[in-house]
Amino acid sequence: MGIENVFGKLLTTTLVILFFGLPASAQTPLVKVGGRVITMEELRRVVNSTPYAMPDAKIQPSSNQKRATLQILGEIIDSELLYQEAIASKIELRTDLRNEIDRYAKSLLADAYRQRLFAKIRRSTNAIARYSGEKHVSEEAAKALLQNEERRKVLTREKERLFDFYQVKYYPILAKTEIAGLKAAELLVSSAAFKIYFSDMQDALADSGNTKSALLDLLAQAVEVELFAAEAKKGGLDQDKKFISDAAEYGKNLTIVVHRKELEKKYRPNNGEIEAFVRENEYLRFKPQRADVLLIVARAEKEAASIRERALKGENFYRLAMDRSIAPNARINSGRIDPVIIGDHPYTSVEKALLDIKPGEITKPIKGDKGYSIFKLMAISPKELKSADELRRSVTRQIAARKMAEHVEKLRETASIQFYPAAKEIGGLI
Amino acid sequence: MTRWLKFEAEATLTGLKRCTFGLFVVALGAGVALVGCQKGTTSPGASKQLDYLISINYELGMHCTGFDFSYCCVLPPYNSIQAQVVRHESTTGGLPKLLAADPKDPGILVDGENRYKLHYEHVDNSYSEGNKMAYWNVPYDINGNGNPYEANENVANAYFRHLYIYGDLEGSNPKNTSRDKEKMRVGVEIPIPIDSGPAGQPVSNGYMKYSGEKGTIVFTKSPVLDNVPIVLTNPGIWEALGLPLTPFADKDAAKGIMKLEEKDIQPYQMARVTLVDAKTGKAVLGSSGNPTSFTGTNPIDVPNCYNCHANSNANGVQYNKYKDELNYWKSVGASEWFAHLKATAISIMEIHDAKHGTEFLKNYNAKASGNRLGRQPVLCQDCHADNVIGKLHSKTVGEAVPRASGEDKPRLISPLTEAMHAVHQRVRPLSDSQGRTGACQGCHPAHRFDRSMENYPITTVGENNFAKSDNRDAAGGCFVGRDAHSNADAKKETANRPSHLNAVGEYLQKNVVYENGRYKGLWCTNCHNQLTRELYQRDNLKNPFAPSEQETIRGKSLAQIASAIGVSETELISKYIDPKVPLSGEDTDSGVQLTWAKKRLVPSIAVIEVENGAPVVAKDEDGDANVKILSANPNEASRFRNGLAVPYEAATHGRDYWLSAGEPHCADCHAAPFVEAQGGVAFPINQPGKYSLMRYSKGHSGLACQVCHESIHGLYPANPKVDPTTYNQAAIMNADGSHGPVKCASCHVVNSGGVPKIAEGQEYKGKKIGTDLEAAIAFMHSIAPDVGGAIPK
Repeated sequence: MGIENVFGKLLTTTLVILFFGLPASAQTPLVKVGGRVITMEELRRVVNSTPYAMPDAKIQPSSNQKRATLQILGEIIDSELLYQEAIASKIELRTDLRNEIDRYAKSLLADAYRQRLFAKIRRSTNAIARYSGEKHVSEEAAKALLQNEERRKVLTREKERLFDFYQVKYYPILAKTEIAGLKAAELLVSSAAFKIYFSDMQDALADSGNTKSALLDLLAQAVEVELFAAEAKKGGLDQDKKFISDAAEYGKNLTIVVHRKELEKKYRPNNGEIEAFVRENEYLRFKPQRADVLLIVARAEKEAASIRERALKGENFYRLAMDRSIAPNARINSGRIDPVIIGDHPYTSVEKALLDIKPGEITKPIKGDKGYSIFKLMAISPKELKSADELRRSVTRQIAARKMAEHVEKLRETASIQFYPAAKEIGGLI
Repeated sequence: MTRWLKFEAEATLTGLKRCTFGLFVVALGAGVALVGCQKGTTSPGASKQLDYLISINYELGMHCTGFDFSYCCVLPPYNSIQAQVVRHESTTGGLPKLLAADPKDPGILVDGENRYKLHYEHVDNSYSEGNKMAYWNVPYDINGNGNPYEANENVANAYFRHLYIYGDLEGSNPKNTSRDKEKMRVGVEIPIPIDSGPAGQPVSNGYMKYSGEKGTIVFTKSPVLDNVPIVLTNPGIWEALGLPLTPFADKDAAKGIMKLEEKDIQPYQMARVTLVDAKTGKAVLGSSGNPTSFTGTNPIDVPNCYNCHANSNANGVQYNKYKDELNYWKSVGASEWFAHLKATAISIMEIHDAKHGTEFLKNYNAKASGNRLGRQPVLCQDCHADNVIGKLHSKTVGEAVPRASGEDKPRLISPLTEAMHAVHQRVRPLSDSQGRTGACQGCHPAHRFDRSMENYPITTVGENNFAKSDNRDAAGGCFVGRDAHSNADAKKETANRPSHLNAVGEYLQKNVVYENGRYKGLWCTNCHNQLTRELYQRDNLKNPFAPSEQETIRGKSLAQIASAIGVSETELISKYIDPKVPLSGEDTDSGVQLTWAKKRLVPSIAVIEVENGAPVVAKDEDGDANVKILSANPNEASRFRNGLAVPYEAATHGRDYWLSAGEPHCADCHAAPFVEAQGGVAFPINQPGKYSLMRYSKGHSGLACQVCHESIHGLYPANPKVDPTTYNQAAIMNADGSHGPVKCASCHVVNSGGVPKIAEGQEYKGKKIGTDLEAAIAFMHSIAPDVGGAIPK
């Protein structure tokens, strides 16, 4: 069986996956994608961290969950394919990506360094008792209070020490110049361990309102992160396994995100493509029409036709729906159903029939899942053109999404995707 | 410009059939189109006539909630449909009839010999959990035994477990007890079924229940009183209570919760209520041959937290966990919006941990091994009192924060609404060019029916989109541009109708509503401010519809009001009536901050018994404290030898927020009789001697004010571009197809002026009413029964 068939089946079948009841162990391999093995643990991990499911399989699998699980497995594979493609394209050499991963790694290191500083705080029993007596608080409260105070002091002392040690220097341009006057290459802070340019702060600043006070706040935070990260490195915290793995995980996720964005940019259509696409799909020029309808469903075509005749002769359609329709809730809703959005309805025959009649008229019987339907059109929104902007946006989105889907499809076709026996057990899909 | 007129109720379609323009109307705008339609076909007093009128209202102006409760949340889902049913005068042989339930069965509506039910649904929104909401599927260790996976242990059942009953929802307490063992807690002894409200009614496709003579009542504990009644619904109202509604249509949500996008939000969900035969379940067809069915808005939206918390606006470069969260969700294929919402929750908790010493993210695992949060979801009201869900206790800092300092430990944690508003208002006042804070619509959502994000009040990086212009130029939202107080188009509907204003109202009309001759409408802080509390505290009402000078200061001049509350007239205006914030920097002492300040006037809740200056407290079997309430009217302290009026904050850690004492009233700006009635039935949410909250207030013949005016923030006439459902709702009820308020002809047989035949011979202010509709309306307001929200006899 070809990979594409396997994959298509994987995504479209609705066979039951009783995920949480699987006997397979956490490390059981499921799929090998270009050399990397996706295990049951990874799939379980992702599924468990979605809102569909919480840890330990508390929830009864519902059809939504089953669908979502299948979709998630497909998306894990897609993400892996995109990641491998990104790596092959040397995306990791991109400065902005490297900088962002580096920034995140530094913040992790700074966190770890803070924790290390805090761990060194020791309080004597005497100090706690003394403090408790002086402040008239319980010993437990005194302990917590002292700890908080100590933490603040330790951080301040350490920052002061590192400021001197690394010879941190704020540049006067900060005081003299307004934000608008600063250039990207402007050096704001220098030290023996790091330099901070205005360009390093611009993204965060743009998110914070582009004001001078925001810049100073962000800068103070950035300096603390840099100082602590530098010390953490010196102390070998960057060799810690958890740090390495956390930073790598972040790097991988970010790489995928950046690569997706790059592809979306690459596949953004030009004017010619947009025009051609619209020419081929004229209906896109119009806003989706909304039809308010009444519905009667009968088991047989003859019966539907007879009900229609009665309605055409003037019998009350609501009453007929209540008395004759086999549709659920017909008695209460007397034939009223949710509006039909032209373009969204599963049956094009229904849409076509509705577009062929005028408000107040009734369609001929239309074959459906449960029998034969007749619709009375109550009202329909007029055919309104989308604005040029709206048309452009929606078409751009559609073309880019289509190209993106084709891109991933190609990746699936050309990549080596191998399903392991355990994957077959997940519902006998493969 | 061609506009399609769409009305859900078939009753309206009947009206339109008479319209010479047919269903498609070509005109300059919808309002004009309808006027054209009316002129061609009807006189103000005679046109389509309904056999029954079913009003559809809601409780909050705009309900604002998250939908994924797996990390944390601010408010639970809770939307109600409230209705009253009136049989038209022409069909009763007498006066119009307000229809009630069979006393033995609150689900059966009785009309003479006929027995009906009221079926309700939300159009194209039939379920919540799964594709639209993670609530019941999120485990929560309710009994605290360390295992959150036992039966019925989930967030949905955890949220309301401080509420309880003793037997029914009418406040019965057969054993007259306050023993904890006798209490049946919502979500614990009474689990909430999936996709249902706390009273067990489904989010869609259910039947309404009648709230009866007493209203729908649950109890909660306050720090000084057990068995505090919470009147969820006034007496005499049909209700579908506390439904877990989302703003997502079935059609849009089919792709799954992780794929939801901001454009999928439809904040004006359409509720449909249909009268059906109790036995056959068939819709009741009116004399026109159409089902007796009405539609109305049920508003629900998702707040804008992500605009600041999923980027460095709130996080700076110091808080970074949100980045990992964002990338994780994006890398597994979640939509941008969904990923941003997840990142937002992590950001909020990370900042909360840093600022307040909590440890929400102590076990957060960015590598997604199982539950990323590493704990059960954080429910804000577990520590912060919040009157809106009846949680009257706050924890102390020592109880909530493991490493709190000794000085901090005994300090009570602020009410949730105060904590959130005060801090966000201080750090992000988001002034517009007029100095009005844009933070209201910056955080509270402002999505629209057309789902367009153009002219949205806040940018994606958390800036006020109208910083250089006027907040009120936004394209519309939960209040702005939507309801009668902010909808420029409303003037087309009510051009010549008087506003009946007092001095505060007149100031606002001249100086705020119209600026440079252009209609701008009111801004949020013109109503939500400290003035409302100051006026309320000084009310001592006997007749709210015609109070004497001794009963209230609301009828006085601005100078007199300023003097009464102890500020200058300038300060009254700049801090209380139209509060402004700094154009840049933090807001530390504006009138907006005063609204949420710790130090401010908090109105009195009741008169309690004291001895030697201290409250007389009895303890029940569980050791719970109970003060003795002598009167629910705080003005009556002098009647008692040992009576003392105490402020709301003495009784609930939630202070006066969300209650009548702390929220705006019509009476703040409008002159009697165009004001609320007194409260009383819903004490302590409202009080005798004081103006009630509008949503608890009743007027003419026991009709809720909401029936004719619609619920707050969506007051008729609404803007069809923002909330077409409400816009159409009034037109369905009004015989002349106008867009509200609802007129007399909806229930009465009227004369050519639209005045009820039974009123045309009456006199108002010495003048015969005749065909003067305005006089009839004023007369009707002035003679309304003032029975505290009860059903008038």
